[in-house]
Amino acid sequence: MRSRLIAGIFSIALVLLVVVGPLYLAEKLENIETAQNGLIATDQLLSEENLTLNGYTPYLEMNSTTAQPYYYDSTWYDYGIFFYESGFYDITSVSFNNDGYIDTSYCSSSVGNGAFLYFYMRCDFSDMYENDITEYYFNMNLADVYLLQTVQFRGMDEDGTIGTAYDVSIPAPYQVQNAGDRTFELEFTTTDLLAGISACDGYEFGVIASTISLPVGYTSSNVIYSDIEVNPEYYESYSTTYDNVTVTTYEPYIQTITPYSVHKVMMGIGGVLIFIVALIVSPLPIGEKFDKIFPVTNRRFRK
Amino acid sequence: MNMLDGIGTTLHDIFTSLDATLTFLIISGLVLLFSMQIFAWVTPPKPKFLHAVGLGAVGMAFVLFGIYNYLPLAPSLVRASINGVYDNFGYLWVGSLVILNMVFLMNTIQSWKDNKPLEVFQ
Repeated sequence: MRSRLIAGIFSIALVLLVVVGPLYLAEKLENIETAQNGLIATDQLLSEENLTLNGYTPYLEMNSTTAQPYYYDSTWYDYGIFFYESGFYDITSVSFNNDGYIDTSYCSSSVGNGAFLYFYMRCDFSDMYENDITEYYFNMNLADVYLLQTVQFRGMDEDGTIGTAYDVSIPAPYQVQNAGDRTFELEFTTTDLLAGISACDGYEFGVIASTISLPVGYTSSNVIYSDIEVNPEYYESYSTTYDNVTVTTYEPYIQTITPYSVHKVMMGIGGVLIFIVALIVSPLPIGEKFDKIFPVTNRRFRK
Repeated sequence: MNMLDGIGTTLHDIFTSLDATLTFLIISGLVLLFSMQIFAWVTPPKPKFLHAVGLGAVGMAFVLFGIYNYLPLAPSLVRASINGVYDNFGYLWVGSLVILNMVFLMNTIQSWKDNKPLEVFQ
């Protein structure tokens, strides 16, 4: 009985190793790949850009069954997440991966169309009002976009009223066949308190970062990071001109590497390993070749 | 949302598209056969095949519920591979899972014929 139990545990460990191991390794290798890609850490970037993240108080609410949108008015610069029921399904679960730069969050909806997961942030735009800045841009970078057809951006008033939805359609080739990062930019002209909101009607995506870009010359300390991730590591900055207004945007470096390149290779290796294990445990005669070198194989079926 | 609603929602999603259904079959197959093996190990000596099947099915139900509710990325990964997100590497990975399922099924059929508990590994 004891030997069988040991063999059983070993067997499960073996299968888990070949099924999950390559994917776990892929995550680690991607971190290494990114780190070797000439990146600078967020802290360094913040120092160089003289940026501050005053009051950076991430608020994450997971596995909530609350179906009503709400906001927090305790402090400025709040970041968080809330759930909004579309009328069809609830979000069933949300998990966050805070160990690095990628896959910062996932909305796993398993709910089909109609479920929305909203990420929001609150910013103090009083300085903008004083400077008569009524135009700014909201960017959201999404990762793992597949089977995701439409992303919505909406503004939210201070009382929680959700404004008009701006739908951004993902080009058809990217809906199913390709994963990767997509950047959506949308111009808001409202001066209302803005909530950066994203929605999903697929069943999975990750929010790498969302930023509000302000005209150059505006105090950089008021450039708001709205990254959902608790510990963002790598970002880059670049300037882009929108309607003759140059803005600076900060984005994760992950966009500079090929998404999932390591994942793909490791999944291939995992596939080969799983295939070998299948041969080992197979009742087919070919499995006998492994009996001498792999003593826990299923010899009884070959008798 | 209560638990029953969650199960209903999950089932609705599973059977709304072919790739989701295939994903469910792959995962449930692996979970069922592993559950059967585990119960074959811990039950009294030489239990009959149906003992392991019955207990394995119950175990599968619990594990599947846990996977779809607490490890949602697992089925998403399989589903993405089926949809070609990871190109040929993903096809190879998910194809190997299918082959592993088929091998387990062969062992199950043999076990059924012998009326012995399923022991893929010995």
